[in-house]
Amino acid sequence: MKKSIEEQVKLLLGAKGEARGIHFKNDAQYIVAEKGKDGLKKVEAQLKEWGVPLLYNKMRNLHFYPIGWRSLSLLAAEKALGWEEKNIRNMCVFASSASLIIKIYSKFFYSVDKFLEQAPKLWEEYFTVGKLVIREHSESEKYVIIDIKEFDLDDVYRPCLESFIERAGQTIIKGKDHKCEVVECSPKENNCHGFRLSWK
Amino acid sequence: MEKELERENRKSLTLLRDLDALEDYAHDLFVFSPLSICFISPSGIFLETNPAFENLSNYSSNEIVGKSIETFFEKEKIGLLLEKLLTQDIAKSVEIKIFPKDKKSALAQIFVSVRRNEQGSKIGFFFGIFDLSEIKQTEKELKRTQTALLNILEDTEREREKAEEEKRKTQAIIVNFTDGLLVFDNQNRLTSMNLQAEKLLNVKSKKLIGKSIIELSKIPKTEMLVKQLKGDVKIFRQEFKINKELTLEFSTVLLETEEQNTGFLIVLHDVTREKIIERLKTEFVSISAHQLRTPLSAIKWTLKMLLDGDLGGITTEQEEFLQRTYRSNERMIKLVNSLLDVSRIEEGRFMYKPVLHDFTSMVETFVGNYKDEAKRRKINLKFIKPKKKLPKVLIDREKIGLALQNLLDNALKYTLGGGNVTVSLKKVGQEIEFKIKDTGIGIPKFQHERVFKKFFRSEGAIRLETEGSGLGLFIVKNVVEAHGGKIRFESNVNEGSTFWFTLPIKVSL
Repeated sequence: MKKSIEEQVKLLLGAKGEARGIHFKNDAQYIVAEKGKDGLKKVEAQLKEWGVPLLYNKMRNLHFYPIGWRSLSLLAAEKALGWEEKNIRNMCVFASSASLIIKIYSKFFYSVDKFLEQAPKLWEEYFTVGKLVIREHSESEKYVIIDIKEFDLDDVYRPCLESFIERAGQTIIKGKDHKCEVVECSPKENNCHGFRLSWK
Repeated sequence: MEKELERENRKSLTLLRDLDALEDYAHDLFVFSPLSICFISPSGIFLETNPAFENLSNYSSNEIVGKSIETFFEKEKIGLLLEKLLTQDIAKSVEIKIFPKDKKSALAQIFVSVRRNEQGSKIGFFFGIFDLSEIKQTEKELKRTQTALLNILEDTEREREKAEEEKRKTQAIIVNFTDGLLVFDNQNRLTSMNLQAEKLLNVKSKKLIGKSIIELSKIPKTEMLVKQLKGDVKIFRQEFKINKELTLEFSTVLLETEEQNTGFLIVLHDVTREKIIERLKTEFVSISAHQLRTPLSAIKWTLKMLLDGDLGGITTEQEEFLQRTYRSNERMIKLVNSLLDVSRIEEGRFMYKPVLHDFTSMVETFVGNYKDEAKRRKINLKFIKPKKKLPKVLIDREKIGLALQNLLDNALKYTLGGGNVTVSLKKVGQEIEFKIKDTGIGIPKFQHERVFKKFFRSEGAIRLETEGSGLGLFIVKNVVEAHGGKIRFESNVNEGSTFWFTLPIKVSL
């Protein structure tokens, strides 16, 4: 049964862990580009209504903020701007392109193996909770399966993460038609979320 | 321990703040740069770009990142460039085609620098892209302008050659022209003269070219020429004698273009031969007339004696024949006299003996003499006397009489019955103006120019009166001008003619 928005907000505000300010800065950049400064104000107003003191311009890229705010930022954009999942996905594609952390890690992009070796660290750059594990990787079959473990992934953030991984794949792995889809974790674990990135 | 942790925590926060500031700085610089900057992965994928490249490529950053470099640049050339970068770390000024979104391909110049990590492994490329489209456009325009200028130069050269050719032609015409030509510029300096002019004036052009009119007036051989100008540059066929054997006709032509006066031309036409022929003709006419006058006088007196009955009685029929013969003889004598007058005028032997005369009474007498003739022709001949008495004028009574006679003859001869001939006199300034107005047949406009020429007879005059020498107005003009007067006329076919002449009021010569 789908939770009410109030319940979702409450749950998110109580989530444990922290997320890097870069998430919010990228969200703000995209909202301003698409809807202008007024759009951003609407989102901030929505967050304020939910009791979230999130002010995008005062946040810093590399500082840590409550992890629940990550999803609340997306939820507020959906609500205040009438956005759908498609818009949220685009915003996360943009986040992947504009992310300072991705830029820092771009020095490992010269080799897929090298990058995948560094990928768990990359996750840690973004969140203080959860971990990223490369479950499978095949250059010949052109896919990689990534597991995000010990992480409460809600329905708002899941498509965002999917798009983020897809764009990161496009950036790092030479090929075309990169596609990221949710797969089950094996063995099945609580709070484990699998993503399969494939390309041609 | 706690204090230690707190210190470490503070250090971390400071570092984070510095890192943030550094990131802001790098970001602002990247965004500001007017040069397109991109960071490309070793596998040729766009990792990052700045707004300048978004503008150049017409793609958003979102559309660019993750795409292969070949999507935006000329495949073959970019392949060669990446190959080159395997062995070198920098590539400069590589010209390459870029394919912007929804736009024509443009030309760009790329500068590439290889980015390496701490271990020296290649981790990507920095691309600096310089838009050449405007430069190329300017280059194209410059080329177009250059071509246009070259064309203009070519045209100018062609026109110059044409002008040169025209100049050569004109020069050839001037040099070979049978008349003497002297060309002056608008500063009145002699710029060229032809061989014929040199010959006629017996000068060398080299010594005269570049000299002004004033300078030429001080050279004996050209002094005469300058005198003819009399400050006027509109002279047509004015005769002047260089010496006894050479008579020239002097004309000037203004050299004017639409906008400016470029000088003038003197044309010298050698009329020596014409003058000799003319003189011989005049001499012939003079001799012939003299030779004719004696027998004509003898005939006249013989006829007179016959008509007067000095040689015995004659029948009425005989008298009629004799009268007709007498009149014809009179006309012949008149013609011969006119021819003699013309000869004298042309030879300069028409002697004038001016004496102070009352011109009004003279005109009145002459008009009176024609009253009977007018009556016979049913023409109303009238003399309007001036209201105020006119001063006497210095005239040769005989010659002026000849002029009045010719004018009255013409007016009556060429006015049909019922018409009017009005003679009047008036004082105009320091001149007396004689006017004779008729309502006769008039002279057609196209013949006006020749009215005072020798032997001129108008179309209508020939039709109306088969007799007439055509010498009368020539004599009148010469007589009037010899007295320092001027003659003019107005005439319209079927409306009549009016002749005016003036005589200056002078009490002594």
